[in-house]
Amino acid sequence: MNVKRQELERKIEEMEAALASMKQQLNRAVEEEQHESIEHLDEHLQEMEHKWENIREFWPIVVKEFRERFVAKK
Amino acid sequence: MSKETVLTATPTHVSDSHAAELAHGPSWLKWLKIAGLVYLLLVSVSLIGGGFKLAAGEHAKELFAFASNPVAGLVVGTVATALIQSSSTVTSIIVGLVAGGLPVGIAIPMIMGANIGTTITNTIVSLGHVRRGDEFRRAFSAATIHDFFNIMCVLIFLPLEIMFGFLEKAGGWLSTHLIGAESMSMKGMNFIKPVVKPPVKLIESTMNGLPDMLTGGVMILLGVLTIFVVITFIGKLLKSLMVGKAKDILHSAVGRGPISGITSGTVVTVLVQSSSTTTSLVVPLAGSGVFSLRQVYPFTLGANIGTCITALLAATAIVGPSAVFALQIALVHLLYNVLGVLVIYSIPFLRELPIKGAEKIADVAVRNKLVALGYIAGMFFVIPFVMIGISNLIAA
Repeated sequence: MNVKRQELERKIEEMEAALASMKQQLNRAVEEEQHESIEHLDEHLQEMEHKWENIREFWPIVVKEFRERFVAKK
Repeated sequence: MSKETVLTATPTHVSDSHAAELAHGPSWLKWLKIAGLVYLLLVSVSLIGGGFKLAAGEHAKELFAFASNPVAGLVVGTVATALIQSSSTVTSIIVGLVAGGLPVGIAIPMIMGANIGTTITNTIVSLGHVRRGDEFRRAFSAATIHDFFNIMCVLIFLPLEIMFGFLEKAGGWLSTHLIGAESMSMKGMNFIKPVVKPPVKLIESTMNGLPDMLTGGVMILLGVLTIFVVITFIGKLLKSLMVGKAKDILHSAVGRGPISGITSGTVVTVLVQSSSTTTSLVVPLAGSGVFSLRQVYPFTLGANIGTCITALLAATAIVGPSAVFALQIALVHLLYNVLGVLVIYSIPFLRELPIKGAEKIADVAVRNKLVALGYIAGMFFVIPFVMIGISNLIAA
């Protein structure tokens, strides 16, 4: 086996190991974020109580889009 | 970890503020309130069963002849649940009606419709993200994935049920084995009847002298209203009691596979007694981008299984010969939802369809909000009624 090939194989192994380690770190970071988000579950439950306000917020946006698409063109 | 959090509801809605008041106080008092409310739930299911039997007599089947068309039954279940926003309420009412003589075969499409109708709640919750483009796309897809899954369940299982009646047969076989013809005659062993029947008899006797039809009608109305109020209050109380436990369950599911997601969705739904609460919880989690659509998908499927607990609980209120039918429809609900998850989620091609459907509709809705409005109006109200018209035309 020539030296150049050995060198390339070694570099690939190192890069793969580094990539696996980075993937593991990313997974850990994502999971940490998920745990943090779950800690706010009670706030999300409270948001549910206000679901009718969502429609009130949504309606003017729909009306505006409707006017832009259909009324303004006339 | 399982720190209790008392939730306060918006004071803008009368029932919400009453429910919030009810959700205050120490834990033991809340549990006592829940026990009282469960008792009221059992009484109201029994009230509906008794009232329907009294009002319809031997003509229960004729009274629901309009729903003998399975599509009509499906639409009744969908629209009723979308309007009430609680599949638990609708399935409990259906259990009561079956106990009163509504044929199980007619009730099955209604139960399937309740699954679709309940998904309106999380779709409304997702509208709260409308001002933030990417967040809205993720939230809307996390909400509508449940719709697509439930529609697929209906498309697969309703035709099979019409052709072979396999759910009705399996539910009947299971309920007969669970209750058994012998145990139904063991009145001394049944503790539900002496507890539930007295208030039902009392209400019935206060209307002595009135025609049976009127008495039955009033009993049904009273039962339906009570179930609606009771399930709303139980939901509020359980949310405040179980939020800590729900957090623990979700924490333990992080980083694990889909089976863990399905299991945690089931358990959280059993704890809060509301599938719409569970499926609405994942909307902000997915909306923020912290959880992917594929990660929240199994959790929403678990909600379908967990919600069956309410109908099973309601079925325990029914005693006597009709108990077997009440349990049968509750078991059909459970079988349908378990089979739905097993069949659709275990076949890779089918599993991907709700994901693709939800992503597609969310991509369109984020560019054109009229699509989101059209989707909600169409899915829960317009298409169901058009389907009735088409199926009636085909039947004619």
